[in-house]
Amino acid sequence: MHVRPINVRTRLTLWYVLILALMLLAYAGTFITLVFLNLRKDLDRQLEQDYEIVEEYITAASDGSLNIEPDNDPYFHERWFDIWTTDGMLMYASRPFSGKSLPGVSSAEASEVGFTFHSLTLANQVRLRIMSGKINIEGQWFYIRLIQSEERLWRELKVYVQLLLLLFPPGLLIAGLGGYVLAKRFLAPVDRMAETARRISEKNLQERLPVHNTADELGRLAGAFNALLERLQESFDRLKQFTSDAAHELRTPLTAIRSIGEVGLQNRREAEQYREIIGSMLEENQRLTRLVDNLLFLSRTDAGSFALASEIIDVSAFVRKTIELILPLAEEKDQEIRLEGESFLRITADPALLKQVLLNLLDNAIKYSPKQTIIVVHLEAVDQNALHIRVIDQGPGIPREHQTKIFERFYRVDKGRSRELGGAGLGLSIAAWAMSALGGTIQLESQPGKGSIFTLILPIH
Amino acid sequence: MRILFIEDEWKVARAVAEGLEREGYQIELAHNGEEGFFLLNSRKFDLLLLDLMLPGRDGLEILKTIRSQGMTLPTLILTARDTLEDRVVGLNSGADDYLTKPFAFPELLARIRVLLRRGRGKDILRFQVADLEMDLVTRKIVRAGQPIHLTAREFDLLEYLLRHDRQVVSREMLARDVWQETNRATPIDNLIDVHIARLRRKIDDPFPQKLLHTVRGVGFILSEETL
Repeated sequence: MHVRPINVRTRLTLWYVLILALMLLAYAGTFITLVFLNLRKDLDRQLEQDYEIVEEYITAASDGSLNIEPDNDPYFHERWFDIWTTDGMLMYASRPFSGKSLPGVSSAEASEVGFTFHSLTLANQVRLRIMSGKINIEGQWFYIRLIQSEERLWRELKVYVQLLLLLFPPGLLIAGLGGYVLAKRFLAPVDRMAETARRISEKNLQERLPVHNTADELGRLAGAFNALLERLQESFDRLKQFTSDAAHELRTPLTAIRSIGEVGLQNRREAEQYREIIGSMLEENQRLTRLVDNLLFLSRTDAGSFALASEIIDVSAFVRKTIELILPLAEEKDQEIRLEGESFLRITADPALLKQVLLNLLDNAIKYSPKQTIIVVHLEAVDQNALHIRVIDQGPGIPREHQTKIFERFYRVDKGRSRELGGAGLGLSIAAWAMSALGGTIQLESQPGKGSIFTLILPIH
Repeated sequence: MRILFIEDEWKVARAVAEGLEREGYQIELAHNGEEGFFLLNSRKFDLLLLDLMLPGRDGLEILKTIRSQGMTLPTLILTARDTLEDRVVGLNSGADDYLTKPFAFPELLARIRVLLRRGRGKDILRFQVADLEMDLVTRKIVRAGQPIHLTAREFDLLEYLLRHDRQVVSREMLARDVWQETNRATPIDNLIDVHIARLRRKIDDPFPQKLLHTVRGVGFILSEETL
């Protein structure tokens, strides 16, 4: 059989009704039991009273026969009792009702000590309560049974049970309906959220789920969902931007190759001129290649598939070597690169990645600073656990409005000028990624007209 | 020297073939895996140039098969995929070297020379181009009888150019072999140009015959002939 999945609303209601029914049942059971025990206790008390009265007018003759003189008992004809000898012989029986089928007493029963109460059902389904025990009448032992019908008790009990059963289904029904309505009301936002979520695709990622109450669970769910959408939209936008930026960047060298080639073919030329044209096209091709290399590098960092090396680096020596590597570029512009600050600093990091970041910053500093200026690389351990490497230049600085965006991919302060200098606007974004991969950060302070300070912050341990 | 080049991109195949023929190699082209595999089994080659992404039979598959057949010919893999894993897989499958597309032709040429020379290379201790001489033992450089003083980096650069004399050397080759900069995302082209300019100032400027030439868009060449 195929079971249709039940919605949460119905499931909640069913559970609710089930638990309520169980609770009511338990309650009814306890109640009925208590009523029953109480009624029976009343019956037992009545038997005891009967006994006290009956005992008064029973006397024994010396020959062992009994005299019953109920002169002062107006209800004698209603009392039901019998008396036996201790070896199981019936001495006397009062039978106000047709209790013929009451069983006899065995000698074993008759010799029991003390009074006991017990219930008994006769063959004709009549239920009885019996109090029995040995009594001593003027020095002789007898066994007495006093009997009351339990019929009234059971009738009363039945009325109670019927009453409860009568109230049970409508009570549950009302509770269930109430529960269903409540569940429906509380879960309605879920349906609305689902409806909205279903409508959201990459075309309308800016839509958000309705939040009715930020404090309750559903509100928090919608909030979390909206935050997720926010992040999705952001990364989606970034991806779109990246793709379009990358395409634009590819367009520039492609345009150059095409123009150079087309113009080159316009006239018949000397071999030397053709060499120039082809060489120029190859240069553009190299720019394309470098761009694609960078894009692949970035995509690999995005995919997280980048194996990091971990080596102990003597920071001062490492930075000095990197400066020495790039120094010829500074010398061409009569610039000086100074290494200042603390030596004997050690960190554990990926040297290739750190070198790439440093080369990038130094390359930028050399490129954008005027001739005959000084670039300072300053090393400092802050609070024993962070290494600050500052690259300080005397360049034109970066205007405030560009400062936060400068680490974004393809972002350039001055588009025309920077391309002339050979960049695609990826260097700093690669540097920023590399720093986060190294467990650090990169920061920028810059005053237009005075220069820039890029600070690399790396954990020392 | 016979080289088999299995490459499905016909333009690339033809250009490379022409370039290699001009260098004196005999080139056989196959433009899919099946054809290449058939040629490998029917003729003898000294070197295999293998593109990895091929229609029909994958390059790695061909390589594994011929290696399992006991063919030991040197193999250079060319591919557009350049993650570390690809490189490792390629080399583990029996490739001798690995070149990522787009590659510079001079680089391809240099690698081919290395592979074909492998095993009988002798350490050369003296180089000479025209009247420029370098002695690796004394680390002295002399041009037209005059000693020339170079920095360590300039010395390495000149040595590399001399080892590849009359061959074009690309910036990528210099970056990797002289500067040991393997990360292609860290361009040091400007730096190389500066060093070339300095080297030129020392070995060429004072002399009428120029030896160190720039091949625009390709790289540099040390040669007594002007191009």
